[in-house]
Amino acid sequence: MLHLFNIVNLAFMHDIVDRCFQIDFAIFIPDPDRPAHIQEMVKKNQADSIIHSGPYFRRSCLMEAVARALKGIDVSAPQINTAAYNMENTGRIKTRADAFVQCTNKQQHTIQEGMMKKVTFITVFAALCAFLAAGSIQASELDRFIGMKGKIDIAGGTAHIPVMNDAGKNIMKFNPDIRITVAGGGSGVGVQKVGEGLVDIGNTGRAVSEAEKSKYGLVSFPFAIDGVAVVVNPKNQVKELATEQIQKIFSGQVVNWKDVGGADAPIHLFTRDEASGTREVFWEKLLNKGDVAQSANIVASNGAMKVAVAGDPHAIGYLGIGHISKDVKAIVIDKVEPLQENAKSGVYRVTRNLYMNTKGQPTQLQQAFIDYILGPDGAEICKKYGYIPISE
Amino acid sequence: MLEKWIERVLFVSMLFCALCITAVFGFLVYFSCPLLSNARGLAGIFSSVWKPFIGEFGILPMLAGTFSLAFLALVLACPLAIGITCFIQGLAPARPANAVRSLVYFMTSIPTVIYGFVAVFVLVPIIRDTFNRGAGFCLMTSAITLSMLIIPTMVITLEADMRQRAEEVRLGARSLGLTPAQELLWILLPCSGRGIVVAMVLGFGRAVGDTLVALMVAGNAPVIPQSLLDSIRTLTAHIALVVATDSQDQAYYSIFAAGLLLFLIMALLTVLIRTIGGRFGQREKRHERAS
Amino acid sequence: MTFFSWLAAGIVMTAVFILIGYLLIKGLPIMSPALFFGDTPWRAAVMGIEPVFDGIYPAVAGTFILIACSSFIAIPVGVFCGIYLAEYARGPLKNIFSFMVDLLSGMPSIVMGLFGFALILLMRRTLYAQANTSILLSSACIALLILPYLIRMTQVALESLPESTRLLGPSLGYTRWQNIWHVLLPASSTATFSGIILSIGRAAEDTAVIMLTGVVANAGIPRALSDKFEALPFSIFYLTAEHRDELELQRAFGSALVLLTLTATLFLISYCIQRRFKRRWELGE
Repeated sequence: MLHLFNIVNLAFMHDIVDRCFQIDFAIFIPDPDRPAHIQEMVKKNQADSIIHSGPYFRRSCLMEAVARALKGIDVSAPQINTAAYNMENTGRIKTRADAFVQCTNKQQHTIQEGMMKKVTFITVFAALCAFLAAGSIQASELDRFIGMKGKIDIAGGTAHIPVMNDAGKNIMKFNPDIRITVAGGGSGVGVQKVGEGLVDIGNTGRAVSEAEKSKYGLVSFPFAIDGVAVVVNPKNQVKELATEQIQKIFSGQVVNWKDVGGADAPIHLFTRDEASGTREVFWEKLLNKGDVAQSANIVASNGAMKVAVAGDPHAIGYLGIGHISKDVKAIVIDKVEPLQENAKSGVYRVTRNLYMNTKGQPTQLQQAFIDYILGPDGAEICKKYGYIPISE
Repeated sequence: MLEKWIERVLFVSMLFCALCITAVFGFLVYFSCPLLSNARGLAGIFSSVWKPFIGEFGILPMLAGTFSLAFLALVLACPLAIGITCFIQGLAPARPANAVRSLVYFMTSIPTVIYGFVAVFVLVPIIRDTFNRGAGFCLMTSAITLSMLIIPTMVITLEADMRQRAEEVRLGARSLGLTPAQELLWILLPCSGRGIVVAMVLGFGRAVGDTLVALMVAGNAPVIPQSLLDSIRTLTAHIALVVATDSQDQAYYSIFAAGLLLFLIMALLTVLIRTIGGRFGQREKRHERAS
Repeated sequence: MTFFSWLAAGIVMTAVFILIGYLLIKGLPIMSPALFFGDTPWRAAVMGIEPVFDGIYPAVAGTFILIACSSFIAIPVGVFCGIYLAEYARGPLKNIFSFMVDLLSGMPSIVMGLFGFALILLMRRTLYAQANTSILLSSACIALLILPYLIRMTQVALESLPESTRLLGPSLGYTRWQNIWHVLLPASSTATFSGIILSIGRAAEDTAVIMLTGVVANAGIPRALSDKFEALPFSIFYLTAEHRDELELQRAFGSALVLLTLTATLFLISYCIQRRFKRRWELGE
């Protein structure tokens, strides 16, 4: 069955078509003054019914005009009052759409045999989809959680926290029987806690070592790529540094900003605690396993590092690229900008994967969560927070 | 019959409390055992290097941090506490004295985390900009915040002691024609030596045991402090950080050793208070029976 | 000397006013249902139907549940021990127990948290391999923390009753327990009660213990005793250290104000009770 949409907004229509499947229809934008055009289109495409959608719906004179034009065609023209369709009423679309479907179903009997064409009734859902655009894909992703109960305790890398929080929020909203708690602590804590069975999923910002894998029997699931950048306060004049300069700064050999092209001010070092995966990657790949001065201030997570550097004009630290915002400034290292694209292509060397780890094979609920993160929804969330999903 | 049972129930609950405290001590010893039992472990714990990644688990910097912070806070708080007690006790007219007294009592209800919270946003930038060295998270900032924390404890103890003494000498002082201020300065204060010592020990104990202020404001670098503007780490903050962020077994043994140290320090202070202040308690009871 | 004492009082008063003023200035404008409940409608949130994201309600609920559980454990034990120490214990046993209570009261809260953590480690190795940090463990540790306050307050309340009141019961032929139950406890009830309220305030504000025994940054409202939970003081600490944007910082200020209001209210209630108690006794005697 072919349904014509008499709709004002072409882009809107393209949108609907992109999101629905198995629909044949012609899209056109009739001039409201030329109902004859509609007649023409109906004849040409042998349409079964016409669905009107548009903001001018209330104007009954237009409707009459359309009805007059369609008198010559034996086609049903049921109406959905789309003027009342808004975000608050989205819950009712389905019912309205159902009513519409029933309506058109009833009128199908009067349609001539010759006008049968293959179209499914997902046209009804086109109206739904238009308003639940983002939701439609999400609904199918979250469907894997239907009927599940239980809790997932997550701990570990602090870079993962925003992604885990968002995913947990979506899942908990969809299915209130599932509880997801998220804690930080750093990659080392993630490994240890999941290995000891204190949490269900342990996040790490570095690969799990062979020793840890064999000791605890961990299974790793990488889900995103993140780079580690050197950050300073936005008020700091320094924009780029060489690897050697960074090594000297962090080991405490260079103590004043003027030695590296900045103002005459002491350098305030900030570093991460020992369990941090961010720290380990930074230490291995940028510092080449060099020393970090013992007098550096220690912060306990990526978020804390950002707060510390943003609040102190002479601070320097390191941060996962996903955490970078306008509150801190990332330093260009050896002429390579610390962007996620460069991290992905390998031009920016200081990168790591973000992993989720479970002890042994994950349970059904845990596997569902991991699949959610690895799926398109999880990829959206990763991108929203500045990470590159591993699937890309 | 019921009497006996009730007494037994009460005794059992008391025993339960005593058991808990012994359990705390026992656990700390048990868990720090592997590290303390061999001499190498003992030397390792008391080294001044904390670099767990290469196997150095010395908690001496943290011990130095705790003591330096507590002493500095005490040095700042003591004169203020004595000053305020005198203020309340006699050197000010009744209205301001009562107002200050109520405020000091109110200060005891302010949570520790709030002191740390306000210090991070108000005090740290001031210190950082004034001294232009160090990030603001240092010994000085945390000592100032901590002294604010322990002043109410010290004032309340000192004031209770002085008030009780004032009862004793009031009539005598009035009959000699002394004003309240003179009574305070010439009689009460000189006699309050012991009360001041008890208040100081209590304040010191509170400063040693505090976690949040040190964690939020002191910088947490595991080094022995060499200047007021150095970033330090205390034993308490060390335990919190390691449990929250460390992952190796050796590090865990070191925090139990740190906990044991803290326990022993506080036990020592408690004994000290009891011996010095114990004589107070007895004097109180004697006074009660006499009147 | 006078000048110095005025100066001392002035310094401390200024500090306190700055503290409270700063919190009020930054915190009051943020107070709104959105601070507590995020975008969840408040009735659904309070009923537990819908989870609350981006709001401090789970932390407030967690704090209240923690206070309730720890009071439930600590108050009976504390009052009983206080009665025991005041009335029944004699001689060297009393000294030993009294010393232990002092020891317990002097213990840093982080060591108490460490004890809870160690308990879990031990249980995992020996008795119950599924043991985990949870609100039950936190309540137990907090109960242990506030126990010495309760014991001391009850003991002092009972011991500071005048001799005449103590002799009342025996003069009527009461046994020791009857004396305690019918005369002494009611007479000292207000002091004991104010002590209980102060202990509750202490339980609400403690952070170090719960940090090691089960509080996390995001957990919703705990539905079982073995769940992890959120609490106000930890939220303040966590948000101070790692706020991602202005909104989270505002939440930190809101939490701080709520916590301060809570402890201040508890303190004021206890203070008023004590004042009434004193007046009653002063008038009565």
